[in-house]
Amino acid sequence: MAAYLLRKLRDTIFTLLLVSVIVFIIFALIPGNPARIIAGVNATPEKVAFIEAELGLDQPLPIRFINYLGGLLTGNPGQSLRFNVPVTDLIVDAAPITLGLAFYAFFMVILLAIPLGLIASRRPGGVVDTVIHVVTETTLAIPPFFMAIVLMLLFRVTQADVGGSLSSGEILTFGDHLKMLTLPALAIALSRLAMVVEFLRDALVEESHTDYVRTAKGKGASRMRIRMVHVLRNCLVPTITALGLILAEIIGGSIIIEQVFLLPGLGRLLFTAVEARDFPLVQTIIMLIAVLVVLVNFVVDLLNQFIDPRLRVVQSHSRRHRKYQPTVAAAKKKGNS
Amino acid sequence: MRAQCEGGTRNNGENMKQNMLLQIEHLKVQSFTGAELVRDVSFTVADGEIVGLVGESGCGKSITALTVAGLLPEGIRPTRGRVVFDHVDMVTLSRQERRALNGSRIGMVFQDALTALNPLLPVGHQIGEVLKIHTDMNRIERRKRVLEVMSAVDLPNPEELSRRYPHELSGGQRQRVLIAMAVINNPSLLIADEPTTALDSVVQGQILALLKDINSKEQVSILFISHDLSTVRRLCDRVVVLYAGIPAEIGTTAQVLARPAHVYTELLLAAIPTPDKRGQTLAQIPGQVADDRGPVTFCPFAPRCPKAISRCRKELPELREVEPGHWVACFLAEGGYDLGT
Amino acid sequence: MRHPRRQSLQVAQQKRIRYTAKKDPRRMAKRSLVTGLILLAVPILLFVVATFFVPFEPTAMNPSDRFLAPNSINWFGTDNYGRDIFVRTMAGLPLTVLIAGGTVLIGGLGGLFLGGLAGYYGRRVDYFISRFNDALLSIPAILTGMLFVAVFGNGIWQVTIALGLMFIPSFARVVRSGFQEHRHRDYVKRLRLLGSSGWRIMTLHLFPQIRSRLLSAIAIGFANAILAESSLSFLGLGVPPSSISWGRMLKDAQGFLFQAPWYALFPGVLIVLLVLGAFFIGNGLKRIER
Repeated sequence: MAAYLLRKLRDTIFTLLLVSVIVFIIFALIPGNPARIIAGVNATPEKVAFIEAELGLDQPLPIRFINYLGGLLTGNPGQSLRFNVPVTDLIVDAAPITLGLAFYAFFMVILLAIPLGLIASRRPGGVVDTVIHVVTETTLAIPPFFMAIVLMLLFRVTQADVGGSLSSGEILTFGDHLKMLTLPALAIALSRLAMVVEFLRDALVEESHTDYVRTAKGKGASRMRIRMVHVLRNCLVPTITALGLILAEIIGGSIIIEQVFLLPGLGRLLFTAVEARDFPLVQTIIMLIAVLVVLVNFVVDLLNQFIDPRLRVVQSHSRRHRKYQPTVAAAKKKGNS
Repeated sequence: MRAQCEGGTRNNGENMKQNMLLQIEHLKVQSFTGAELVRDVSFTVADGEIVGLVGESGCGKSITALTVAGLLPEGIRPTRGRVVFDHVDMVTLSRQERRALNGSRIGMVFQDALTALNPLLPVGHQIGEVLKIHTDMNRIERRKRVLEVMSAVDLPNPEELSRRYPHELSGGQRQRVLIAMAVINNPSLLIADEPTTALDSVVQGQILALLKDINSKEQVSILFISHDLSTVRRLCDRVVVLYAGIPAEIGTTAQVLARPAHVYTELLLAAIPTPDKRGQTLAQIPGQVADDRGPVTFCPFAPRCPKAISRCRKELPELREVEPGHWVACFLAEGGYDLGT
Repeated sequence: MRHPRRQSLQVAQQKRIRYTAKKDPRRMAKRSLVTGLILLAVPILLFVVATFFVPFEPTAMNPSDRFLAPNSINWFGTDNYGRDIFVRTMAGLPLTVLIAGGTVLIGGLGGLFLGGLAGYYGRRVDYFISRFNDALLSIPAILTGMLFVAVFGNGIWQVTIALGLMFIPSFARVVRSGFQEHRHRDYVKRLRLLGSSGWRIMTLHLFPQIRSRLLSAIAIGFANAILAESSLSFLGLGVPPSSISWGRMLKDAQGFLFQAPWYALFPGVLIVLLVLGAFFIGNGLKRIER
């Protein structure tokens, strides 16, 4: 268990390092002199040099990478070029809205997916199953922003209803937030629901034909008991894995949805930063989100281990012990789609 | 229906006085496509008796056992006959009534103990679940009883083992866990569906000894399903040989294995490797159980039978008593049949 | 004699059986493919109609005809400049297909390369490539799109390349798991013993094994690429303002949502049709293989 944890931790840190390298490299590829681009066409050479120094562009690449990494680790990734304040200040203001929205949507996905999966799996191939399948597949094909537009039309909600009061700086209670963010969260949740429902439904169908279910019937267990105690537990691992897989998309979705509802979150900040070519800000926001996704997936892994003791077996990336993790392997394989 | 078959139900003289715990009468099991998985099976299990159900794969032995346990997969159901357990016809019971029997009065032991146990729950928990369902014992009482039964089935160190997960146990231990689960409520009938097939021969012997032990100590009847005549020889009092969903031969183990009257049983016995057959080529039965699942009009074994006569391909032989308690469905069996035309 | 109760039991069982009777997977696959093709045929047909049979120009403004509701002349109404929405939407189709196709091409080739290496060589190669995939997957596709636009500016190529890179992991996974399955099979071992090169084994023997899986991944990738592109364009960060894109149309339409709901609905429905069609085809292909 401890060995596995350490190994997983090592992988996670390695992945995070790779994320930072990728993001850094993309910024290192900026064509021409970024400082000049930022400064504008009519800028004096002094101004360009100042921006160059500000960005650390006058130093060799490896040094720049180390500086950048150091900045991230010490929580001081630099100064926003556009707003002229520390990047962290801006993010601390905007992050709660985006993360709150994402969390809300995530919660909704769980709340909707579990009953849908349970209902659909009762009669595989039946009418209810088919309807749920077609509906979730269709919602998967609806881009989140269009989903939001449709919901706005349906419920006669305007942008101002949601974003207006949040931007105006009024003091709002938690309840107000919840009410206001319901529609945006629903738009994200609906468009990302399909995969979780499908994973859960397939797992439920598959698991209810297993030998241990027959054993439980042989014990005289009731249908309810078999489903809740035995089957559902065995479906948790693929379901949680699916939830981990859609997390990145949910955060991506909330960044778009913020724009639809004019919410002052990371999405808007990022949008402004991209338009203004505020590289440190863009870089930091992207890193923050990537780190979050990687960490949540680490937690998902721990959670799965907690549920399924077979996963606690120390595994390397060789073939050893592969047969002990059928569900996760299957779930990951299905993640392709 | 055919009167002679009653013999299968009544079986031999000595057992007549005993109480029949389980009586299967003219059982027919069909899938939803109409395929006959079990065609016409009748036999009994008396109190405290171990009855072996043997045959090749596809002969209907597991389906028969699952019918008794009420665990047939969806789409397969008994369409004729009765399964009387302790004077109640199980086929007519409601789902709730069945549930009350399973795990308390009827225990099931399955073949592959790794898949038959829930991989995510500690084995102690899974054994205790039977008590949770059928008794109103509290947590502490249940735990005590679980440990008790675990040591009764010779699981070492029950205290520690009960907290382990199925994949952490050996094959033999898992099988013992399944047995513990089946016997914890002192059932009257234990259905064991090939419980030793997945195990190596040493462990096989231990499990057989354990079953025998449970049988003699607790007076539990056992319906033992196996394709392996040698394990049946070691364990069972009586044997039912099934072929294509029809009993070919029924009798005490001694009768059937020492004096097989059905050609099929003879051939099955000839195919078992024994020390005295050293150096010889083992006999084999040509062909396989026919895939045909329609109604039978003649002896289903005739196409593979080396001794078949023309009558075998025209008529269905009925069970006849060749000696007290020994019933055979074969025209070629000595006594009883007139081979004339 | 039949027990009355037993009869009712049988009826109940028969009913249950009818519900759960297994469907033929091949028939399901075919149905999925046909559904997908029909869904895709609708936009293509509409495109032909709009290009050859409707007399409007996609960019022709007509201030007197602003916000016309759908009618017999402007089938799907007009926008805030009096442009015909039907023609305008259909004019956006080629660009959408082009970007999605380019994305799938880049993602597919990259995925084939990385996934092939990881799946065939396994061990350390696999480890590093898997971590790389994890890293890419941890950044939402929309953010990479924004990142590329921030660095390289607006444009069709920027969007295509950014999305293509983001789609590498999903293809790599398909190829990797397919190769992994076959890598330890006896026939591959034999080929290796006979001295076939890794390249030869991969291209001649392993690749055909995963072809249908890859086709399915391409269809699904295509659908996801359309979704991602429209999202980027919706944010105003995708294709340049001069070109017509559904995402951008929706962004413009949002301002007049309650005044002219048809403005938003038509491009939106078209995205859904195209994406859903590709999804169905992808799922059909996946089922055929089984």
